[in-house]
Amino acid sequence: MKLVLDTAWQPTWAEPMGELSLATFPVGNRPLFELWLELAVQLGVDEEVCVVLGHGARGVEEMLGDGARWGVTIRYQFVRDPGLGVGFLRRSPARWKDGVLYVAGSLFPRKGADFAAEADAPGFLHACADEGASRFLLDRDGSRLGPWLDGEGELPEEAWEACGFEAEPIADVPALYTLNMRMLDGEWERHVQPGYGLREGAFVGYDAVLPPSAELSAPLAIGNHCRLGALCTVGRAVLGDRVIVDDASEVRDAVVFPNTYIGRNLEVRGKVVCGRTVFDGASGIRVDFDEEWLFAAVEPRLGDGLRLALHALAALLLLVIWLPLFLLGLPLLPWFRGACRDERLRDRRGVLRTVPRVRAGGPRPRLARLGGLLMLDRYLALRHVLLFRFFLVGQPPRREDEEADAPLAFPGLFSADDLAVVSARDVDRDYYAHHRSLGHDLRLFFAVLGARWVSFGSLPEAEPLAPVAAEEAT
Amino acid sequence: MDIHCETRDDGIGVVAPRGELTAPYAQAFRDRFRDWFGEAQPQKVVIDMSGVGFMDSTGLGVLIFALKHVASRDSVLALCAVQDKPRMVIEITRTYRVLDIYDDLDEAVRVLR
Repeated sequence: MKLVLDTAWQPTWAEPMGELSLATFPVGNRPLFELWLELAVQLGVDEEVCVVLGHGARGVEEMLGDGARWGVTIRYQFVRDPGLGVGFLRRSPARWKDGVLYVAGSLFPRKGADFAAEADAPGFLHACADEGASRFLLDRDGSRLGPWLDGEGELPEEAWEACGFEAEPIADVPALYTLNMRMLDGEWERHVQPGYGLREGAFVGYDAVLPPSAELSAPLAIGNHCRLGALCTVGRAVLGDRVIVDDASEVRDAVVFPNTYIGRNLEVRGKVVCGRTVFDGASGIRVDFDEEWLFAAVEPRLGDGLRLALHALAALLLLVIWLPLFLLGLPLLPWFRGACRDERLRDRRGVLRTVPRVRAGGPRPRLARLGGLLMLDRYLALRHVLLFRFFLVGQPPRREDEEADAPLAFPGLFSADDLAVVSARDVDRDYYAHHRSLGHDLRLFFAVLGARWVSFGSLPEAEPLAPVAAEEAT
Repeated sequence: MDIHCETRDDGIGVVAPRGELTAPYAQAFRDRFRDWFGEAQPQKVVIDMSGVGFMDSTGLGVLIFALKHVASRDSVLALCAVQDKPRMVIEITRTYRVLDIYDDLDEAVRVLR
């Protein structure tokens, strides 16, 4: 059986979302058409998957890729007429004679609580909405679809009661909002594969930066690469990928589309936010904000490029200065026994990390000073420098395939002692590259590195680490 | 934008703007409000927002200006009949914490009287 995912058409209510395709709209922590693809695989689609592209084609391609994640092969076809709908099937009826599952438009694959794909798989199902633009059509052997494609007879709409699932129309923004809230309130688990569920009511994607001062309350779903500012409050909300919530804002009972920036000290309650467009979740009333400091679409900017260049230069500088020092100091490491030791510290996420730490107040202070000058306590970070992935401030982004407990130099400052120099509030605030200025980067750079060299390796007294950021492992 | 200002028999001033409360009309609103308030000197002012279909952050700034202007003269300001879109702006920016908002003019007058 073949699968056709028709993403070309965009309903009227979704037009304010701009170039974003309906297929990529968030439902829980997943895009809508990922759920359709997963259901299709469960129903037995194991051949070619044809994705019809039209509106927002690029986003759909980025989302689905080549289909390897689902064990299928995806072929893309672009149609110039997004309203073609089922006419796409009629173009080449012979392709579907062995059965097809066709999905188009704003439908959500709602599974019943006792859905079991093998037991409930029906032979024929058909439902449509939006005057036929949204359609679900399943014909396992092509026996009923074939004559219809040839223009004979009508396709009846089959009842769903016995199937264990149904194609639920999403008629407007409030329907999308209600659907997301329903997912958070407990319906989510029956729709996703293991690993995507809400553990203890919460899902947080990889490379998401959540400061200790942010207040998160389940249920919530936070996408990949999200950034929350200090003193944020997020609860019962769906945040898509690459969402930035600035300091002291509150996001509650809300759905935030991917690539959205929410400004500082705002209160987003009961809303659907997509870029600079905000909808009321209950009434669907829409307001477009022109002020980028309130709401904006997250897009690459000139400042980001400058920051990247600055970081690369800093990494190169560190490499030139640091490598000879490191090579010189490495054979001397045994002499530093007693002055430098590895400690297991718990980071702000509660994960244990190995941190080499020079003991300024230890029994051999001169040796410690020399070790500090040679930065032997930061040898783990050298790998990042060599990879040009040195982050002046902040934890390096976690790779998708990295284990949660993999030993990392923590935090991305220059040593554990340096963390004590910078207050927890500064670390918290400076953690977010998107609203940290280049000047601030430079100030921190000289504060934590320059000070060490100027003072000839002198380290601050070994103060206890900031309690909100880390605690010594017992 | 049309701005109608009047002082009722009970001494409550009512300001009723009509149209969009956005940047192009902000200064006109400020000037009109300042002039009228200076002449009428009401102790209580209600801004009737029933005719304002849209308001941006500049419009919000105008309301804050009016609030500060009135408060500095020991008077009281309230809003009434705020339409859906301006209400969203007021909610999102947390301005509702400093403004008294009533459902309609009658309610506002009843409370302020």
